[in-house]
Amino acid sequence: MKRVLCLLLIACSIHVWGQDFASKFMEQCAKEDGDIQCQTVSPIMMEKLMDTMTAPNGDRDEEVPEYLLSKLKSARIITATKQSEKLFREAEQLIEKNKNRFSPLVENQPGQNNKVFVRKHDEVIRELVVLNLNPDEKTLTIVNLTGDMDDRFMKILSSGKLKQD
Amino acid sequence: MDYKYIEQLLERYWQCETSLEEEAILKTFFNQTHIPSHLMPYKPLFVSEKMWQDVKLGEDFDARIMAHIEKDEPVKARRITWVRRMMPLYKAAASVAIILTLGNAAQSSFRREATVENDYNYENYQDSYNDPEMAYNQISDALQMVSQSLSEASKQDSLLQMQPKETQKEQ
Repeated sequence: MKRVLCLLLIACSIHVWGQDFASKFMEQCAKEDGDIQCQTVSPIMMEKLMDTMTAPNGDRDEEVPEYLLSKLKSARIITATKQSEKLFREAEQLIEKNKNRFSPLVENQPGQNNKVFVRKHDEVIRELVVLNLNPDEKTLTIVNLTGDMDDRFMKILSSGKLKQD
Repeated sequence: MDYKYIEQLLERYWQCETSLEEEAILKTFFNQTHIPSHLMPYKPLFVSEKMWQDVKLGEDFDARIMAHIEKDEPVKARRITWVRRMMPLYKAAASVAIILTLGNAAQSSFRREATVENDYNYENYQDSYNDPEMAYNQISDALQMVSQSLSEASKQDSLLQMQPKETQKEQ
């Protein structure tokens, strides 16, 4: 009977990660530090956003191109003002623990305070995680985006010009 | 009476030279009542053989054997616990559970490519903002940060790639 239970446990653990990075990080670290804030924009809110953008509204000065929003499914922003370095390292360790799921977008050097990781599928980025540690303000910011972020999406983001042309 | 012949036969008996007829003669002699005293020590040897020959199965032997064979052994009452009774059911349920779990796990790993989008529990997401305008501002800030991070990361990467070329030039 013990062997049966062990087999069942092993089988259940095959597919455990069914969350985005931010959820996993909050589960792990929010217990230890209650000062971590997580702002969530769900897919439902994203759709509402798209609706408001497509509705005629001459007053809005869109900073974010509609294309970018159309490719996003959800967004989560985690901020921490206390123990930011420790939390940054924990975030790095969580990524490292799941290196089968996340890969660095560019080669990360140790000691960098700004790291970008992606989860790709069929050459499209399904999840993007940015870890940013501001040593002057001692704040940690984690941006976790999910969606269908293709090359054009990344090109627009990398260009540094988000204002719509 | 002259027992010389018997004594000769005895000598031959110790040498294992006697025939069956001669041994029968010795047995007959020692089974009679009058035996000389100097030959008495040998009597039990020949008499015991006859005694064992006379041993036969009694008439009640068959009856005793059959009674022993057909004897019903008393059945001891055993208390069967509830757990023991349900054990076959538990085993069957465990087998089915294992098969279903392994099958589900295998199926989900095969379907992983098709259901990457379903990998996130969007149903559990709770919006931090009810106003789309505020959500828009948040996303705008987030994308700005991502953009800056990507630019920084690209610069770092290009610097690293340039370094080997610079060291070669120095050489």
